[in-house]
Amino acid sequence: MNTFAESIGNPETDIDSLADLDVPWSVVVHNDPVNLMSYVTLVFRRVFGFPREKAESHMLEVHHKGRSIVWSGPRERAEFYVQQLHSHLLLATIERSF
Amino acid sequence: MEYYHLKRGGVGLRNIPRSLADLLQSIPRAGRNSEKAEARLYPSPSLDPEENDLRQDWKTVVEPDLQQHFQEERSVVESDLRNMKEGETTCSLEIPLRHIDSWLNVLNQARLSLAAEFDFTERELSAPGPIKIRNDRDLALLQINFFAAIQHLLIEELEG
Repeated sequence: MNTFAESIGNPETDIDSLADLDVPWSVVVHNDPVNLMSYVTLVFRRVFGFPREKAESHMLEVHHKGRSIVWSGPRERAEFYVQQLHSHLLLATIERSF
Repeated sequence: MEYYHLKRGGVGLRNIPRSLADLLQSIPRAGRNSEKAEARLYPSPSLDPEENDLRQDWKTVVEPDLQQHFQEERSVVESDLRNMKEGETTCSLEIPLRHIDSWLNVLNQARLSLAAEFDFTERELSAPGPIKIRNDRDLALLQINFFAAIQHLLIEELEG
């Protein structure tokens, strides 16, 4: 991250800094009794590059708790990930992080 | 029905009985003609009632992309199914490694659509499938279970 002094006079950095100040957003995956557990794990590995253990941990959280926050960050990126998950037919939404 | 590994990568199925070959041929069309299925294939990106703008943008911008993506995946599967070899009593099918992602996607489209259309409960989905096919609902559950078995097989092939 740039220091404040480095950002002065650099409009692109200013915009990035404002975006960073935005409320973080979460990508939430919801339980679905049809999708196979192995398939959900595979999708998490593909979309987020998770190692197998992390992907399985999120999959099990979805299975047992009904939902799992799989990613948090800027809204635009969160929407991108939700679209990716929908393209693999997972139930995913964005929501504000608290 | 038996499966084997293709030398160039992928999965071969042989000695497929006619009844199962018919189920395989039904994959690209299975359960896609209902509003419930449509709603499941294109879910809302947000549960927040204040996110109407996002939902509207999603319908306008994202859903057409998803529709095109799903259609492209179905085209890959249809091309493999057209190449299914038919013998006197059984059939054989090859699924190349580079097509497995498309198969996983289309099998999922079919399973999710059927489950939504027939309102299957989690209990029904996790129980053993029907022994006798008495109606369309029994057939749908059989399809969902059979397609899941094919998905398992393909995921194992990808995961090694």
